[in-house]
Amino acid sequence: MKLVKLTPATELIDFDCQDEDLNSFLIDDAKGFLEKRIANTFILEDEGNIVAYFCLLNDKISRQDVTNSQWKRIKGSFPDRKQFSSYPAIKIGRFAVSSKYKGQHIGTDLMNLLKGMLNENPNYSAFRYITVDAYMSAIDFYKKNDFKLLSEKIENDHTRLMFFDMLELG
Amino acid sequence: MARPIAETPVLKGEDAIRFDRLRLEVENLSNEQRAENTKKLNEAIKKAKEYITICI
Repeated sequence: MKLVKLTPATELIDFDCQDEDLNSFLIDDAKGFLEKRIANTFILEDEGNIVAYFCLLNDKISRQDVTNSQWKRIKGSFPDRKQFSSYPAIKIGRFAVSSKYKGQHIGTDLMNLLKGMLNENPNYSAFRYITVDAYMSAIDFYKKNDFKLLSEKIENDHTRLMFFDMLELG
Repeated sequence: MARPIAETPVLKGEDAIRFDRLRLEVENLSNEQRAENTKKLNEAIKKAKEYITICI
């Protein structure tokens, strides 16, 4: 199998992961996002078949300063108050494996390659986190890959925001 | 047209405090622990590269 970057010339043949939104993004939107420099898409191919894909774009995790009363309550936990109001991140905009290839550990292998690519390649711009807006059905997959929930509140029925801290790696 | 890619919202109150705790936990990891995490990831990558070639 080969992992390649989507280009305007890439022929997008049939892809079905049994989720209409994920199918539609690859076929209808990925090239537009590339042309407008919004997101880059990477495709895992196997002899002409699309096995899986993911897309990456820039993001940030922002935090509002706590109130004085909150700070008094928690300051013991933060001996060094130096912190930023936002942290740069790379967002996984979409991540999907074709239903023909599910159950073969491909998603986890691809996630490890993705982390390796982001960790090893020379970076011209720094980032701290990988973020993802995970489908409810995919939360366990991301937890297995060391992602954590960004908030314990459930904001909607479909997705939860999750993050992986690149500083866990050397 | 697929759904738009969601924007990551600003963390407030308890969410911001929880995020900072998780952030500090990682910032306080020892170099040995980081090296161990990286070693584990590199082993997993080696396994993935047995059948996936990166052509980027």
